[in-house]
Amino acid sequence: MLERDDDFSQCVEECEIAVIVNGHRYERTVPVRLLLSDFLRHDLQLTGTHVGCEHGVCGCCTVLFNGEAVRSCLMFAVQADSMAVTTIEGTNSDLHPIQQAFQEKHGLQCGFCTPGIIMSVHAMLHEHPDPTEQEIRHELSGNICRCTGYQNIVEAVKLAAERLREQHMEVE
Amino acid sequence: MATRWFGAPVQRQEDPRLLRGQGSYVDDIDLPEMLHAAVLRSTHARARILNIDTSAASAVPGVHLVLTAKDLGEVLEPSPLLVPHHALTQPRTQLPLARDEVRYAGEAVAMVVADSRYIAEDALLIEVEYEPLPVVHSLEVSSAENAPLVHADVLGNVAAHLVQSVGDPDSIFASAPHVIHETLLMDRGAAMPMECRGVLARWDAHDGMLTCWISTQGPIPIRNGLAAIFHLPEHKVRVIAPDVGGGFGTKIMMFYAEEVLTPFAAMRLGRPIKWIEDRREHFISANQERSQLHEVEYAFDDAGILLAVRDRFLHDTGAYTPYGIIVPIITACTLPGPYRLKHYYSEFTVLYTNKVPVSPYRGAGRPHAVFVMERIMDRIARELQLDRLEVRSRNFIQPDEFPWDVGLVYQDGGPTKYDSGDYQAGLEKLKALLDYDNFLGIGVGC
Amino acid sequence: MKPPRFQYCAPRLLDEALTLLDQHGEDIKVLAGGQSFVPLLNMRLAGPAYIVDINHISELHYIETEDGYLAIGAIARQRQIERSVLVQEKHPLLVEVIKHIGHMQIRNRGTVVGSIAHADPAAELPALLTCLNGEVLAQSIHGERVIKAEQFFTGYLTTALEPGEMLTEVRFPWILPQAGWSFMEFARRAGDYALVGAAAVLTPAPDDTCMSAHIAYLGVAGSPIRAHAVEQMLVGTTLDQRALDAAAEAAREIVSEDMSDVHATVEYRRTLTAELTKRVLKAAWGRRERQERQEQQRGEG
Repeated sequence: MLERDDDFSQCVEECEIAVIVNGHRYERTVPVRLLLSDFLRHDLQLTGTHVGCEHGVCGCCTVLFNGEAVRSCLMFAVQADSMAVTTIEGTNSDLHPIQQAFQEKHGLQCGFCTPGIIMSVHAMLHEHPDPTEQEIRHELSGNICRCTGYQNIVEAVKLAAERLREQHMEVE
Repeated sequence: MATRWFGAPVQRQEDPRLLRGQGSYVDDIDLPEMLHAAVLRSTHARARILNIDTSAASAVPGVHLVLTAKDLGEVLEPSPLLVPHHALTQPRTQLPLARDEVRYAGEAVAMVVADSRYIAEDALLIEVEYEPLPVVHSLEVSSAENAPLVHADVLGNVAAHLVQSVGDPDSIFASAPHVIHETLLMDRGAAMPMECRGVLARWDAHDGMLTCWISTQGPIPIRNGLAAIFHLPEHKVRVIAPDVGGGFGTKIMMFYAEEVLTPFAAMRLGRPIKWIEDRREHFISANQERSQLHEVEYAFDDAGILLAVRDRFLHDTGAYTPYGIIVPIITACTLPGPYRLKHYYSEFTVLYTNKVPVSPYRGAGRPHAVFVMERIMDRIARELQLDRLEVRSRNFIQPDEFPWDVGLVYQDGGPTKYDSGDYQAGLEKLKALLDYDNFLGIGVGC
Repeated sequence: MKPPRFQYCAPRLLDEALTLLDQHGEDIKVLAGGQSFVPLLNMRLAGPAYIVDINHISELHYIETEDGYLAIGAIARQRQIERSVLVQEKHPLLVEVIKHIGHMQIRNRGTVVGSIAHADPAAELPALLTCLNGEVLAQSIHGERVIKAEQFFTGYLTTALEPGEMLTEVRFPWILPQAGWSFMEFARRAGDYALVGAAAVLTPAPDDTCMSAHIAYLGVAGSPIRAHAVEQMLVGTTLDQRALDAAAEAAREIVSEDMSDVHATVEYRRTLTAELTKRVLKAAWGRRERQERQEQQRGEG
């Protein structure tokens, strides 16, 4: 966690923030009520993170916040000041083994829930590199998909976990 | 590159883009000078609108436009009736903004355009004086004697009534060894795509060109419709369906109010206007489906052979009939299913209720029919203590009986005919694949 | 669903936060994990003029073993407790309960204290705190007070906190090493709000009958309910089938008449309550350390 150099003990409606997103530092002035999801999508044009519900249920907006999977629709951009955020755009320029597995196993259809699911899978495999099917379903229970019926998503995660283990790859 | 595709796993072209978050859904598109819209929706299922005061909304800094019905000029017209039908004697479609009355909680009453969606929502401080009216909240209420009327000029809330009949069910019922009567309710459901609805409209006055990006399943008919509504030649209207985050039928409908209001605002202000539906709005204003109440009687013999079916059902169309009555027609025509049913009477009544309108959703009437028929099969099996799959097998249309004419007129006006099939083989294959006998409980639908 | 306007402050010191709370009385709300609060803002069901973000107050970030209880500071995340080796060892029931909360994204941000302060009767932690007869520490610039769980939860989303006060710590009493514990809840899908849940701690006497029983429920009323009557019935029994059945029957009465909603009728909740009672008591009793095992261990020690 990075040190903060601004003092927020005064109440404000707008402030300057500096956020590290996918390794790049962005400085912006934002309204304090601006949701992190909207900040990423419209202030930074990182539209890969999607908005499905705005009340913390669907998982489409999942990003990594200091390495932890969080719902960006339930955070304000100001809360990301001096913090590190990873979005789907930051996972890799070539397809990461996780994404490759999703393509091979047809783990997506319309693609709207997909970035949120990929980010959750990153977080999950970092902690459980060898998950059982039960564990996969449990850890992904915070991401909703209306197209696939989840079957192929589970298969994709199993394949991704296997490939990562084979390659001795640490999921970051 | 392989020359044989059938049976080969084919990877999709769009996946690398979608997996990297490089999709382009309507809210991903930001245009210069763009403004944002929010819609005020009725909080009453049924009410008269006595007055609308938009002065507070217009005074909010950052607000550029506030629209109510009186501001729409000749655009204030009921949306087109898609799929008319001779039995739909009392069709009704929606105005882009409610004028005198609201007929479902969620109906659009006003639109605000502002610098940001946040400000537009702040500005939904529009005072609407409603006179609440008795609500038609179910098929029971709608069909009751002296029921309140969803539309003042539609007697008994009946939008349509259709009877179709094959063979001679009455005499079969008179002599059948077993007759059962059941009431089956299929309740309302919603498709709930992960991406809500959305419209981005841009009017180029120099070019006379209207361009809309819409999260829709039907860009071409919408293009044609918008051209008609705004009196533009078709080549001067372009509707683009970008990446769409699921539709399942909900997005095949036209016109949603916002599909007319957003281009209207864009033309009025000369700036691109974006309206993105949020999930709360989707729950109360995106079309739903499924609601039907069936009173079904069926006759069968000691061998479990289904002899005749009489099905009378009520279909809930919500407050309007934008998509005509194709859903209940499909229900009526699908009910016989893969079974040899030569004596069948179907009667349906389409009723208005004070709910979100109904338009096709994944199955468009078929799931309802299958639900009814498969409950019949299971019940026959239970009554005669026969195996559930065995009863179905005994009733299947046999391979040598195709083409099989069900004897009904389908929603497109054509006959309901099956051209080929080997249902028994299919069922056996499925049974083997599933390891059918090793489940605690299993549901069957053919 | 965008939040309404508000003024925002993110102090680094607790005193600064308490001063703000004192200044703004009813017009200010605390933002910790935000997992319950921000949805209310987005839906515009809440609209405080001021929001004080306490996530930067490092003095509130702790998990401490104290004499008699585990103390959790206001911004310790649910996930941290779930992963804490210390808590897994010394208070496994708390870890078990936290695992049932929502989804992992929620637990990564949600705080234990925040869940207690939010006081949703369908939430797990308020029920656990009630079961264990735990306490909360409420502070204001005028001082502090300790409030027992059963006095703290006063109704649906309502607590005994006064304007100007905030919860800074929650205290989960230790469970005796020989006691058995269990937590179960029933929800339609993983992560849904549970319809009904129960937490139980049973302590055996030297003769292996039940010496003391604690059982509390979520989803049965506007606040978590500690079932004292059921507890009395169990003392002195061996938790045999008769005792379990009697407890289950008695537990049905706990469900308040006004608990009928779109998710479940009162009758359905009563049925769930009875069934969960049997299961949670049986599981808790099965976890106890029996007298002969303790003596054996002492003999070996």
